[in-house]
This record gives sequence, C-alpha cells and structure tokens, in this order.
Amino acid sequence: MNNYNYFAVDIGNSWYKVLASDHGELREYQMPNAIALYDDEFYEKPYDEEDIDLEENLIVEIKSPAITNKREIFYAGKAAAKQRNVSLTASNNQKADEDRTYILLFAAAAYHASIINPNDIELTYCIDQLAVSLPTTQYKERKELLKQRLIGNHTITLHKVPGILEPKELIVKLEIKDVIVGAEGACAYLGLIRDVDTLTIKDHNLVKDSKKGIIIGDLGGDSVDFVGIKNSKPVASVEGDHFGINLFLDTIIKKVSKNELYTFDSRSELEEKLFAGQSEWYVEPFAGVRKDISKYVIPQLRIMAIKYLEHFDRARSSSSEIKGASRYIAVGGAAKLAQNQIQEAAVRWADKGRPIELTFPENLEKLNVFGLMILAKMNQLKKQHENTEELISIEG
Amino acid sequence: MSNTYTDYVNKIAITVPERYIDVKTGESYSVSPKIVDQIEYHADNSSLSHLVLSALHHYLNPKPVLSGGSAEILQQLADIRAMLENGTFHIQPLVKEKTIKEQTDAAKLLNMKEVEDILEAFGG
Repeated sequence: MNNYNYFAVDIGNSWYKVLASDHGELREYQMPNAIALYDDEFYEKPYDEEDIDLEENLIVEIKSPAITNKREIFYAGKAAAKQRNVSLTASNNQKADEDRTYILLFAAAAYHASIINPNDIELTYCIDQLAVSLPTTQYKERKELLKQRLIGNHTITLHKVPGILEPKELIVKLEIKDVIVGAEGACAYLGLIRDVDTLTIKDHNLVKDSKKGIIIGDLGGDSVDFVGIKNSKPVASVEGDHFGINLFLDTIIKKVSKNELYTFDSRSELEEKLFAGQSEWYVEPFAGVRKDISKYVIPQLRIMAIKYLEHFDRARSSSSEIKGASRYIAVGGAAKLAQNQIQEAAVRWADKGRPIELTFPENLEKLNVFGLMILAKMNQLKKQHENTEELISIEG
Repeated sequence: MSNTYTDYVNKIAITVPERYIDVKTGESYSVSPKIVDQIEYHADNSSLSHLVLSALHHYLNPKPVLSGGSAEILQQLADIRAMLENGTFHIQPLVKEKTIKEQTDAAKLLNMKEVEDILEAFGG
C-alpha cells in the first residue's frame, strides 16, 4: 500500500491543505488560496536570494488541457498573497470550473516535487492516486468534470526559482494516474475514525455513536457544510447559506485599515496572526508602534460563532434522519479559531433550552485532508485488488 | 474527550481533559481513573472544593528534602528538560517508514467489501 505516491488536497476557500505520501513518507503543506498575475516589469529582485523561500516566490506557468489560458504566468499561494493584484476566492465560486483550482493544485504538486528532489531542475513526478474535495453542493454534479480535468499529464514551469542558476527555471512534468473526489465534511469523519497509515479504525467510540447519528459542521472560508452520519455512512447533507470566516476577516481588515492605518496584504496574513494566538493580535503600522487589534477581532469572532450555532440548530432540525443525533462535531480551521467564542455562545443556547454541545476534536482543521488521504489509499487498494482478480480470472 | 463535573451546592465546576500539563514541570500526563473517580465522588458529595484545595495544599507546600543533594539535582534536570522541550518546539514533518510486514497487515486487516463500501459512500 505504501509503494505508491498519494496526494491529498483539501481545496479550501482560504487555504489549500496538502498531504503528500511518497513511498510511505508523509509531508504536510498549506498554501493560501490566492493567485495573482505575474508581471515581469514589476518583479522585484530579492536583495538577498539566499533568504528567499521558493514558497514565497512561487511563480508558475502551466501547460495542461485543464487550463484555458496557457500563456499566463501566475504568482501562487504565499507569493500571490503579497501582491497588490491578488485574487482571492469569491463567494459561491465553482471550484471545478475555475482555472485557479488547477493553477494552485498543480503549483502545490510542483512545489512538493521540487522539495523532495532538491537537486533537479527538470523532473518528473507521478501521482498514483490523487484525492481532492468539493463542497457538498458541488460534489454530485461536478466531481466527474474535476476528475477528467485532473487525470493525465501536465507541465508546470516554476520561474525565478531561488538558488537555481539562470534562466532560473524548474520544470516539473506531472502525471496524475487516478483521481478520487470526496465531499468536504464527510471526509472529516473518515479522518476522525480511521488511522491514516494503517487505514484501520482508531476511534471505536465514535463509530458506536454514529449508530444513533452524528452531525459534523465544517466551518470554512466561504461555506459551512453540515453532514449527517449514521451507521458510519453519510446520510444527509445540509448546505447553510454562503457563510464562512472570510466575510469576518474582510470586516476586521477594513476596520483595522480605517482605524489603525495598517493594511493587511491578504486574508491569509490576518488568519496566520489569528492562529498564532492572542499574544500576536497586534499590528505595527509604524516601526515601534504596536496597536492591539483584539478589539476588532473578538466581536467579529463572536458574531461568527453565534451564526455558526444558528446554522447548526437549523441543520439538526431540518433532516429527519439525524434529528436524534448523539454527537455534534465542529471541524474546519475557522471553528478552531473561534472555539472559545463558539463555546461561550453555546452556553447561551443552553440557557435558551436548545443546548448544542459541540465536540472540538484534535487537529480539527486537518481532518478533511486526512480523510482524503485515507480515500486515496483505499482507492489504490481497490484498484490493486481488481487487477489481481483480473489476473486470476485470466489464469482460470 | 473532556468531562465536566459540577458541585452545584458550592458552585464549583471542573472540566477534566484527557491529558493535563503538570504546571511545575511542563510535562503532560493522562488523567488516571483514580483521580476521575475521586472527582466524581466529591462532586456528588458536594465536597469538590475540599478535594481540590487539599490536592493544591499537598502540591504547593514544599516537601522536606529526602536525600539531600540528589533530589535537587533531579529536580533541576527535570526543569532543564522542560525548558529544552518548550524552548525549541518546532513542527517536524511527519516521516514514517513502514516495514513491508506492516503494509501487508494493513491490507489483510481491511476487508475488500468494507473498502468498496467506504469508497462508494464517501468518494466517487
């Protein structure tokens, strides 16, 4: 099972979370969902190239049938988040249709390939099994399209790669052999109950609880997905309104920029600060001047927490199959960020007589991508099994 | 899973996590069933505050040094270790080499039918 290359990508609206397994060696990355058009005239040469990370200088050009505009060159991820013309996700975006999905996904794969082959400037990288996620609303109708566009051969050129001699280019020939698509939220359940290495069940209690029903509420950048699990199978999914942390991040950014004269480069810059903990919640508009931003952050997180619980309440009463659910589980990076505020708000719900007791599992922001990795490995197992069966039937 | 025990009479509640950090050394331990039993007993008995305060009393009052120097040295070593562990914390990439034996075990443990069911339910 570990003799193959697996690649799992949780296509989040604020972050791409990547898990790569090459012959059993597991690596984790994350990259902001940001792209920006590259303009040679405005490229600032780094003062000291040794200090530049490829990740912060990721300039990609992609030749692939999946992409309509093959001539454009883009900044991707962290590099894009620093640009003035950065493009972030719009709400209600259609992940399978947009070039940005493929640009970022291929850029992440090329970045990974270059990290594990540090000395090559032209390399081939083969992914035996790729697992990607789609929101529940887009899952049924779009998964085939996404699969078709991903499977096959793609060429990714990384430009201006630090530490490489002129012309400072690195070419990655990427082959994707097989793709499996999972639904956001539902994958988190797999990540919760199964071990990503052995694929066996690690949380028997949760499996037992799933007999009565479990509701998972995945709070992301632009969407909140609710998935009902019964007898270890997804039985219902409820899509709330378009709602996620990005709206609140944008408000915080606006308020900080207006009142403290500091403008964040991107949502991801703010989000990283928020994840680092309350001791980092300040900005420095001028050298030596520290401004506390928690007064803008906390009220926004509170509003988000209340809305998240409202969605949760609506979700649990809207589906008859999961009405009697025994456990409610919060997943997604935004849920982690606002955990305190959500728990505070939950006390008020309990006072109102409609208690929502949420569980916050360990690694709750990464459960979807763990689930995707499990799906990838299982899909490979199935494929191998089918191949051996074919061999046997031919022999017979 | 954390559990909350409440002594409603004296308005005291304590949430017991799966693991806790020893505030003196910084090391983390799992909560023993014995501790949980005691907390549960005293919560029911409305004497949770007495349990917590007696535990704190034992914990915070300096114990007489038992064997002179060696106990102090051991304590200092424990402190240095805690500092080292906290000071140079960084995320290691998860690198796990699996032996071939484990791989075949994993394949054996999983029933093909189960794998197909999961793929059908969760993926496509």
